[in-house]
Amino acid sequence: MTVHKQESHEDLIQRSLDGELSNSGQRRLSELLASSDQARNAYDHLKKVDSLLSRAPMVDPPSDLAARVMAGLRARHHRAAPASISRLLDRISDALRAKPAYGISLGFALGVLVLLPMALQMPANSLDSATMSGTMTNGTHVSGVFEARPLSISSDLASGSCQALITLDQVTLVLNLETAAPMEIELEHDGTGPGLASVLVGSGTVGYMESQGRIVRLLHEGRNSYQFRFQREPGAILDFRLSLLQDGQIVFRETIPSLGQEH
Amino acid sequence: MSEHNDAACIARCLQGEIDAFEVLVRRYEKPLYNGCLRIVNNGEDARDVVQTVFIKAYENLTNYDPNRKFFSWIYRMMVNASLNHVEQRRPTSELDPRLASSALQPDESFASDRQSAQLQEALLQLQPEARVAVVLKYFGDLSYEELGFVLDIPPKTVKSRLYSARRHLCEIMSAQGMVIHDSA
Repeated sequence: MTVHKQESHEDLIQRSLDGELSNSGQRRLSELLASSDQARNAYDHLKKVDSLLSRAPMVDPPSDLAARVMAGLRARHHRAAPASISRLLDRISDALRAKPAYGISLGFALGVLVLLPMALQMPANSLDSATMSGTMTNGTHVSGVFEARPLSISSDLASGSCQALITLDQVTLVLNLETAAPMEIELEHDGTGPGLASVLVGSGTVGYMESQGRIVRLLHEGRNSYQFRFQREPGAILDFRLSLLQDGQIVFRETIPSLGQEH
Repeated sequence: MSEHNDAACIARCLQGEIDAFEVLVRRYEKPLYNGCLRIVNNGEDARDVVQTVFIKAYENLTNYDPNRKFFSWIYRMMVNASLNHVEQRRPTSELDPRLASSALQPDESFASDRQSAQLQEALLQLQPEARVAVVLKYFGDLSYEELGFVLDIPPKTVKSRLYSARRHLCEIMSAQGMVIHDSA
């Protein structure tokens, strides 16, 4: 009986706060509040909290939010193009199988076109890059360069068909910290996939770490340059966020949005 | 919120018109941002989460059930993404009540008065599930049925959870001498 009575009180008060109480319900609530100081106290407090919450201000979102969303969408849409190119190449390849001689010639020509820029290390392979520069709360300078690029492109000439294949994409962050003070480096991305990152200090790899979800954390112990390499799904657009923490407090944070957008 | 307009925009998006999505972004960025901000308690984080949610919503439009309101659907995505974000974030940046009000101060419009900051401080001390119920009710302006859809629980459970959350808020605010002073 007691449980039922409490549920009934709760329901009455709840519906009153929601403005859904009928006349008879309102009478029952008034009787309840008149007969129980505890219930009246609880009701008054809930009413005040309800009023506070109802009057809580709505904040304007950042003025660039919509623009960022749309830029991200357009970039992803644009990046869908390689799949179309791949399908087109497949169709060409199928058509040329009927005439292998033409296929070998065309495959050779396309292979040269694809591989030559790589051999010359032309920036044509770079899908996107972004620089970052800022100051920590203690005045120390932080700088970094983000780059997203296809890791390899192969062309199969021997079979008489042609292929332009992006086998693996990677994103590299070179981070420079002009301080020897111990701190935690936290790098987070919003992508999916294996999330395996290698971290290099200077010229040597110090190890691989599997990110917990999409976050890689590393303890800074007086080195001044790091290189993070992330594997990403081919063509994926990634948002990265770098945070530096001292004693659990964020002393620097920077977001690099939409990395992977083709220029 | 215009459901008919939403449906028309979604139809255009599904036909490949990216620009049609901007109407939906402009229409819902404010309630989504505010809901997210109340959950994650950081303006920059809220911006990042909401941005990601919009993009994922666009990419998953083919899975959207037109029998539901678009707003409820995307709000559900926002809540899940916000909760994931809170889970991944280190506890020290979330739970220290001394940081709650000071963390809000850079966001001047958000903590323009002390009462608002106190309320947010109390909200942060609620368990995430309870906090989300309050945020949905007061900042999402959703019905109990829609709240049930977003939280994936029956509407009756929503009411119960919301009632408990409000009671807990009262206790927190009373215990800390915020606005409500218990005379009992």
